[in-house]
Amino acid sequence: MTPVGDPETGPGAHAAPGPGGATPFQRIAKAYGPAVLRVCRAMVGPVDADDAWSETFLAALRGYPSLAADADVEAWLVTIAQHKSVDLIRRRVRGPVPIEDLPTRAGDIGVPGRGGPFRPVVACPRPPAARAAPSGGVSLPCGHALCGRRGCHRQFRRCGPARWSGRDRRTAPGPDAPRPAAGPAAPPCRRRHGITRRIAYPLRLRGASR
Amino acid sequence: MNHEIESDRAGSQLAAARSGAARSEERSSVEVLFDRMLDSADLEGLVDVAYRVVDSPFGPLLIAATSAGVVRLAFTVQGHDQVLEDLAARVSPRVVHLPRRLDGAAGELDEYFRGARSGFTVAVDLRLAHGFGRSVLERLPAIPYADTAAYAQIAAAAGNPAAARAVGTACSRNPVPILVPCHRVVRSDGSLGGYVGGPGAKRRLLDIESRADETRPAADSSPPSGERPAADGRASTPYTMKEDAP
Repeated sequence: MTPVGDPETGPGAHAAPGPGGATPFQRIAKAYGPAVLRVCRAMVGPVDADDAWSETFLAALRGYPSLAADADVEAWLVTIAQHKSVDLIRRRVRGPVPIEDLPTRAGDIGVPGRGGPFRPVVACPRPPAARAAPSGGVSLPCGHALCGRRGCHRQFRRCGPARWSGRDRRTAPGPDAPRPAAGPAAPPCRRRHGITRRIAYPLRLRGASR
Repeated sequence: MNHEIESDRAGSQLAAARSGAARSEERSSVEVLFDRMLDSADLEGLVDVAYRVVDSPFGPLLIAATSAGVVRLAFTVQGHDQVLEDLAARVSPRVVHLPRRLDGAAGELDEYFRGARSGFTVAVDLRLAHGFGRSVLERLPAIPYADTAAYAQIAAAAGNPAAARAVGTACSRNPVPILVPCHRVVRSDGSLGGYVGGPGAKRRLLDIESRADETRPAADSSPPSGERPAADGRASTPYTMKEDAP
């Protein structure tokens, strides 16, 4: 930059510049610039390190007059550099990605309800309408039904819907109760529905209440 | 074995040289980055004090300017580092090397040292001078080019004829020598008196002015236009402070 205040050749060659308020910013940049650049390179890599460095020192210049007189300038700069690097990494992830061939039509990615990252992760196993069924039963995605009693899904999973009503008479719907969604024509379903979380949770409650 | 040791040593030297080269490369890239960062900082108005070092017959001169004008000019003997620290403490710690902002002042100083300029048009920021010293400095530009005035004369013009010594103090604390011509104030007995850049600098400044004044044609065809027309009326009008006094 200039011969003025050169930490290599100047009289105070190894004396670190003092805290903010009394030291010209030029000397701060001269003394700590390389260290901050190393921090930036370690955080964001060699390509974006220049941007991170510039943003760091721009922010530092902005806040330098209000820096406390007894502050550790190097630690202050490194903290700013880390924050700016994290900002850069986040921006890099969100930003558009250059590709060789442009798609010919608009994609579904990012449109809620149309695939992509916004696809619902888990289908709700007990929709509120099903809970309000006359028998208290629950209709399953496969077309079978569960009664409203807690834990009956465990039975269902163990033996399958074909033998369900015979195994657990306490919880089976009465003969004159209207059967919920499961019609006689529904095929037996031996699949595990993978919806154990919401229904298995009350099992512990049942055990606790016993 | 010897070979191995030697090659080892050579290898370590090579590595040291490489790391040294990498370090110097890192430093220079930091300088480039810093200058680039200053461009956007300047656009945002974040540079409070810009400084630059120019060459002069007395060695490197430090010029520093705020947005209002040149706020400090320092000779080498004053210690540029110390001057910058003083600026950081008294004006703003945002002191950076930004030569672009001082192009005008550097050009005018260069012309002045070559004898091609008799007055300065760059704005001067006297915020580092206060009180009586400031009122003295405000009167100094009225001293014509290549002319001198006595400390006592300036003291009288500043409203306190007994304060010749205070005028000397004010001149020695002049934050902007040369631009505010405190070198044109001499003792009443004709000797030069002191100067911030050393008495030799005072002598050379007056020499530059008197030589340029002799070689210049009597009818100056190009008077520098600017805020201080009084500085051009050199030999034509005898030196009086009355027209400048409030």
